[in-house]
Amino acid sequence: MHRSPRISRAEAESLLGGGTSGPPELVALLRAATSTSPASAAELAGEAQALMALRAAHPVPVHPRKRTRMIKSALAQLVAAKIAATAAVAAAATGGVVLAAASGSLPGPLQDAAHSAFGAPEPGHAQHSHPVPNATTTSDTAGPSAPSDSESDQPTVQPSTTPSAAATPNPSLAGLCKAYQAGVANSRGKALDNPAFTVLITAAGGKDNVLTYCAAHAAPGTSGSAAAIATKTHGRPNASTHGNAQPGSQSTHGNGRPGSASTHGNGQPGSQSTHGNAQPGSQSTHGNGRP
Amino acid sequence: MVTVFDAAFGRLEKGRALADSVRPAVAGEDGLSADLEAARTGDEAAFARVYRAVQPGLYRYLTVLVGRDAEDVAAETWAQACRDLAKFRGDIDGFRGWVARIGRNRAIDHVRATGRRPVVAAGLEVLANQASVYTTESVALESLATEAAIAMIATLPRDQAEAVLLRAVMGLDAASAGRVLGKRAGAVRTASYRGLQTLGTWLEATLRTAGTRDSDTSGAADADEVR
Repeated sequence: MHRSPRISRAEAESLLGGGTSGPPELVALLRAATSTSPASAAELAGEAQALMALRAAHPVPVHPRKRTRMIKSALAQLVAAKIAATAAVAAAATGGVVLAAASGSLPGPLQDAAHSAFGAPEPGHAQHSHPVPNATTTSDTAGPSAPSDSESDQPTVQPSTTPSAAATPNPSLAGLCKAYQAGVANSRGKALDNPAFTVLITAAGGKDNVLTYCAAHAAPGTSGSAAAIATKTHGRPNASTHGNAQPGSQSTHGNGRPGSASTHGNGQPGSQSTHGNAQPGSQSTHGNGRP
Repeated sequence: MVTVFDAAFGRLEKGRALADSVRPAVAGEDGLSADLEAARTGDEAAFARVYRAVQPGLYRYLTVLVGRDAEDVAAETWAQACRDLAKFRGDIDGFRGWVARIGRNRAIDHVRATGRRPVVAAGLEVLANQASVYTTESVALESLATEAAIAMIATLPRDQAEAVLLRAVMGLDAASAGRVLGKRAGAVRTASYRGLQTLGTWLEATLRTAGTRDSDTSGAADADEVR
């Protein structure tokens, strides 16, 4: 076994580049230092905030395949991308289409487009209780699209968007739990002030309940599972429904969000592309207390 | 440390296959550079991939500068990076250096603003106990080993610690690391070389003292007496 207390310059350069020749303990130490499997929850906990910051800088995300021009609403984008012939659908686009997209029940190519455009379920992954997060950031009626204060937004993003087969009620809350638990472990007394956790607080029914809620519902805590890293991330992960409230049975929450805890950068609840004030009948209660 | 060794040995075979995950964000990876371009136009899925590739290294680097506040400072770093993203031009390697520089500046501001000195998370005695995890030939997969490794690097003199982390953990070359630190590439190489020498010497002495130095295959039997 290689045993030399002194390494050469060349060895050092090699080690710093990820090489494996040198004193084995030192090699192992550097490998551990650079290993990202698994990356800890603390390391990835800031992803929600970072995405919020990105949205603040780019109020109208441009579809990656169509960089040519900004289109005002993602719904119009979806239509233009795939259904040029069905302009009537676009003109008459209501929440119905978006809801259908959200539940994964559009026909394949349309669902795929919806999937790309605003993170609706992939074709074949129909999910009945996942209203889509706000499909668009701007329409002329929607009011300011770029939140002036990104801190007040309610992001939907969570560290992991893996559709979890585990016992968790929904993957996003599990991800938030992990991040929260990591935050608590770091003595982040103010962790819960992070707007990313508002969803979790809502689900748990209050800040004081978050710990017990997570203990009961969170997946066993591997720190930031490798699955989270490997998972393909939607630009806007699917809205996560609350354990208690399904979209079919809307309930109010203390801090005023519908069961689809899927708000977007400009604070709009999930399924509609319209502004937060006026909801067509799909939501029975709304954060603002309007039926 | 029997459990760690058991786990490590059990995964010895898989460790080879997982070697890729040790350096998932290979310098200059074209996919990430493309993602970076997309992120600049607001593509969130692409940005998330970039974030996941860069953030762990950034976070670990910042722990040396601001200790437990690394999470906060990292958040500030990304916030600024996103705000200025439109002005950034370059590939993923350039982006790493750019983000590292922003992070370092935010860390300096943070220390100034809060008056908090970065604190090494674990004392040298604790780290000495953990050093035995590196005596196995397998890849150290436990996150404890990662934290311990960063903490050990953090015990180095500051310039050496930064040089080692920027190069090994954030994946910068000597020239890029030099731009972050305001030094010439040669100075960075020297600092990181000295850092590795110090680490190697300390590890060897620590492990010899602890009696777990794996000088030959029979040395493994002593492993469990350390923890």
